[in-house]
Amino acid sequence: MNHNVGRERTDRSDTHGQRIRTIGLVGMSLLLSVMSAAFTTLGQRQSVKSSTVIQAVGAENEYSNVIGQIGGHYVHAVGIMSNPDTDPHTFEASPVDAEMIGSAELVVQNGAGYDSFMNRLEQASPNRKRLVITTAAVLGLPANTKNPHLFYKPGAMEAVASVVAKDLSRLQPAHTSFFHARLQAFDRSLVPWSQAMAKLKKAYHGTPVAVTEPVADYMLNASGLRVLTPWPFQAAIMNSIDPSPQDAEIEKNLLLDHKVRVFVYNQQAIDSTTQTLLGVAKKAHIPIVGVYETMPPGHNYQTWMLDETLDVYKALRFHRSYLTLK
Amino acid sequence: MSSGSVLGFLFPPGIFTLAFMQNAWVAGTAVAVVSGIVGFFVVLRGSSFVAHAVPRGSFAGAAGAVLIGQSTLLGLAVFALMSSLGIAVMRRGRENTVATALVLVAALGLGDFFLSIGNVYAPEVFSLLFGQIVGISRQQVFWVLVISLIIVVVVAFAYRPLLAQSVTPETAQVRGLRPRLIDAIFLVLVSAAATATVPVAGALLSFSLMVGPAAAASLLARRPATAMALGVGMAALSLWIALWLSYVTSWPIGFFVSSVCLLAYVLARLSMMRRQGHGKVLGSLEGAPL
Amino acid sequence: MNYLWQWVWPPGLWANSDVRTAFFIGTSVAIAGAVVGVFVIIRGQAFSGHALGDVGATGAAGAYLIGVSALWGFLAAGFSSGIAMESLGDRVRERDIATGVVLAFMLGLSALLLYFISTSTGTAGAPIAILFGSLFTVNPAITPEVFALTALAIVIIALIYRPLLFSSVTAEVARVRGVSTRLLGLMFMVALVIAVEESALVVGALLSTALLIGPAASAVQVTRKPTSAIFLAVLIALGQIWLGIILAYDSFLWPPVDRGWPVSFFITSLALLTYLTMRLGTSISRHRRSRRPRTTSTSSLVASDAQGGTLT
Repeated sequence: MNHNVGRERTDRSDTHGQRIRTIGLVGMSLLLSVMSAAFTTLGQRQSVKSSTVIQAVGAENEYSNVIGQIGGHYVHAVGIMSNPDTDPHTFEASPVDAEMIGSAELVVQNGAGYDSFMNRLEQASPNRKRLVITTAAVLGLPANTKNPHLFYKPGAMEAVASVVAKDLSRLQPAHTSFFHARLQAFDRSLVPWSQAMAKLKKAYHGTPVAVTEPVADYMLNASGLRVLTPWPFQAAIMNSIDPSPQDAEIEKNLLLDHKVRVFVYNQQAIDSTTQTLLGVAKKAHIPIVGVYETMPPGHNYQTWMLDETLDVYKALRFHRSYLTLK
Repeated sequence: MSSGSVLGFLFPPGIFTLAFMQNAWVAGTAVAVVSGIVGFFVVLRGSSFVAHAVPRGSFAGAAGAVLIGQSTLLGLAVFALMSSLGIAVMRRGRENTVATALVLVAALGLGDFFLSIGNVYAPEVFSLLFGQIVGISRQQVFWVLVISLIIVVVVAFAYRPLLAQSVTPETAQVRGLRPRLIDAIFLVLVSAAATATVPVAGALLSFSLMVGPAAAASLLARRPATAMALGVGMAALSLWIALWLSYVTSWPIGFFVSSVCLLAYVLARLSMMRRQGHGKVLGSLEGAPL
Repeated sequence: MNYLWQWVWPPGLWANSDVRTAFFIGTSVAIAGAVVGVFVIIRGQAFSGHALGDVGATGAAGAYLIGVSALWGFLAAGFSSGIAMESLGDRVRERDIATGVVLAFMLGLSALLLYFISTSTGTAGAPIAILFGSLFTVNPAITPEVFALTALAIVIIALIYRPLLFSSVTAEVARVRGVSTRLLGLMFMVALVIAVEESALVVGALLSTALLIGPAASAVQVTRKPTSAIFLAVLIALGQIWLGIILAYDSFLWPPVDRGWPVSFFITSLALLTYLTMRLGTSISRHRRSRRPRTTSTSSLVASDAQGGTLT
C-alpha cells in the first residue's frame, strides 16, 4: 500500500502547481463575487429603513404593485417573487426576504397553497402588529382550491385592493381619503380589462382553447372560452410531475386535429412536455399566446391583464402567435 | 473605511437580533452538533450513502403527509425510519450500497406516486428539498432541540458498543455484541438526525453537514473521542460561517454549507498528505472498508 | 382471456406517440444502465452511480445560465464530478466519503445556480428542476443522441472488458501484474458518466439510479458469470421498463383519480421487488443445495465476491 501511495504522489507532482493555480483562480473569483454580493445586500438593507413610510410586502410582484398603486408615496412595497424566471418549486427565500417580511406592517399573499412559504416566514418572525391579507381568504375560497392562480380571476384584485386600502387607512388614518381615492382610480383603471374580456366573449363565445397549466384559466373562462385540456394534465404540469400518456395524447391531438383555436402557454414553467407541445402547436399552425405567473417588467397589474386578454383576442382574430408579452 | 463600517460589514444590523435569525442560529447549531455526532459514525462506517439516502427518501414522506393532511415533520420521521429499517433488513454483510440505492429509489417512487394522486399544488413539499433556514418558527426550534437531545442521550448510552462495532465488527461480535441491533441503533440515529435536519437544511443538503466535517476530523484526529469532538466543532463552525455569509450576501445557505465542508475536507486531506510525507501514517481510525 | 389481453396490450397503447418514444428511449437507457450497472455492482460503486445522476441537475442549471444545451451541462457536471470523486477517493475506503463530499458540494452549487436563475433578468422562462423525471415526457428529438451515448458506453465497456473485470474482481492481483487500475478506473468512470447522465437527462435521476442498480443487482444474485450477469441484467431491465410502461398506461383507469399512476413508481417498485425475489430465491435454493454435495464450477470468474464484501 505504501509504495503505491508513493507512486501516485510522483504522478501528481508535475500537475500539482497547475492545479493549485486553477484552484487559486477559482477561489479568487468566488471571493470577489461573494464580496460584491455582500455589498449589494448591505445596500438593500440600508435602503429599506424609513419610519414615516409604511413597509409592505407582496408575496408576488403583482400584489406589491397593487399595494404601491393604492398607497402611493406613503408606502414602500416590495415583491418577494418578482422575477418571471423564478420557479416556485425551487424558490428559497433569502435572509433579506425574511427581514422584509419581519419588518413589514402589511403583507399581501395569494394563499391556496400557492405561496405557503410566506406562512413559514411569518411564523419565523412573529409580529402582532403586522396585517396579513390572503387573497384566497378575501375571496372566501377554501385552502384546497384547485386552481391557485387567483390574480387572473376577474374581481379578485378589486376585492384585495379594497382590503389593502382599509388596512393602509388603519396604519395611517390621516391619509384615509388619499387611499380611498387611489382605490377608486384603481377600480376604474381595471375597466378596460373587463371590456376586453367582454369583447372576447362577444366575438368568440364557446371557442375551444388548449392550455399547458391552469395559469390563465380564470380569465379564459370569464371570457367565455372553453378550455379543452383535461384537468389532470394541467395539474400534473403545474406540479411538475408526469402527465399520463393518455392525457398527453388527448392534449397533443387537440392541437394536431385543430380541435382548439388557440394554445395558451405558460412561459414560466417550461419542461420537455410543454416544449414538445409548443413544437406541435407551431407545426399545426395553432396560434400560441404566452402567459405569466408573475408580472412581467414594464407592466402594472392592469396593463398585464389587459394585454394578455388582448393577445388572446388578436391571436383568434388575426391567427397570429403572441409568444411573449410586449 | 472606518472601523464602524468594517464592523457594520462584518456584523450587519439584525444578524443576532432579528427573530428569524435567532431561531436560525439556535436550530442551526443544534443541527450541526447532531450532524457532527452522527456523522462521526457515518464516516467511521463508510456510510455516506446512507446519510444521503435517508433524508432524501424521507422527502417522500412529506409528500405522503400532505396527501393525508398530516404534518410534514411526522411524514419525514416515519419515512426516515422506514428507509433506514429497510436498509438494515436488506443490507448484506457490510455491503449496504445496493440496499441503500434500492430503498432510496423505492421511497422516491412512492413520493412521486403521492404527489401524483394528490393532484393539488404542493410547493411546500418541494421547499423541503433545499430547506428554509430563515423560515424556522419557535415551535420548530423546540422540536429540533428535542430530537437533538434524544440523539445525544442515545449516543451517550450506546457510545462504546457503537464504536466497537463500527471499528472492528469481528471482535465486537466475539465480545457478544449483537451486530444487527447496533446497526439498527445507528440507522435510527441517522433517521432521527434527518428528521431534525431536513426542515432546516433541506433534504438535499442535510448530509453535507454530516459527512464533510466528520470526514475532515477523522483525518486530523487520532483518538475517537477527539475526532468526534473535532467533528462537532467543525460542523458548528461551518454552519456559523455559512449562516453569516448567507446573511451578508443573501445567497442560499446550502451553497455555503457545502462549500465550507468541502474546503475543510480538502484542507484536511492536504495536511494529511504532508504528514504522510514525514513518515507519519494516519489512521488509527481506519475502520473496516465500506 | 380477452380481458387479460386487453390488460397486457391495452387499446391505443402503440398508437400513443409518448408510449412509443418511451419504449425506444427506455430500451436504450435500460441497456446502457444494465451493462454498466453490472460493473458498478462488482466494483461497489452504487453510491457514485447514484451521485452522478444527482449532479446532472447542477449541470442543467449551469447550462441554462450560460445558454447552452442541457445535454452538455449534464455531461460537464458528470465528468467533473466523476474525476473529482476518482482523484479524491483513490482508495476504496475514501471513495465513499469523497463521493459524499463531492455530491454535497454539487447540490449546494445547484442551490446557488437556481438562486442566480431566479434573480437574473429576462422573460425566457426557467427550467423546472428534474426531480423525478419521467419516461413519458421525453422529447423525441433527443433520440439520436441517446442512442449514440448508449452505443458509446457499450463500446468503452467492450474495449476494456477483460482488464476491467480482472481489476474489478481482484484489484491487488491486477496491480501486481502491471494492470493500471487507476487508468481503468478512470475509463470505467467515463462509461459510467455517459450511461448515468444520458438517463438522468431523459428520464431523471430517480429512474437513472433505479435502472443502473436494480437490474444489475438482481442479476448478480442469480449468476456468477459476468457475461451471463450482463445479459440477464439487460433482460431484467427491459422487462422492468416495458412492464412499467404498460402498467402506467393501464393505471389510467385505476382509482383514486383518473389521471394514471406515475411510471417512475412502477419501475422503482419493480426494481425493488425483482431484487428481493431473486435474493429470496437464491437463498432458498442455496439452502437446499447445501444439503447435497456441492457441484459448483470453479472455472467461472467469480462475481459473487461483490456480494460477500471481500472485494472491498
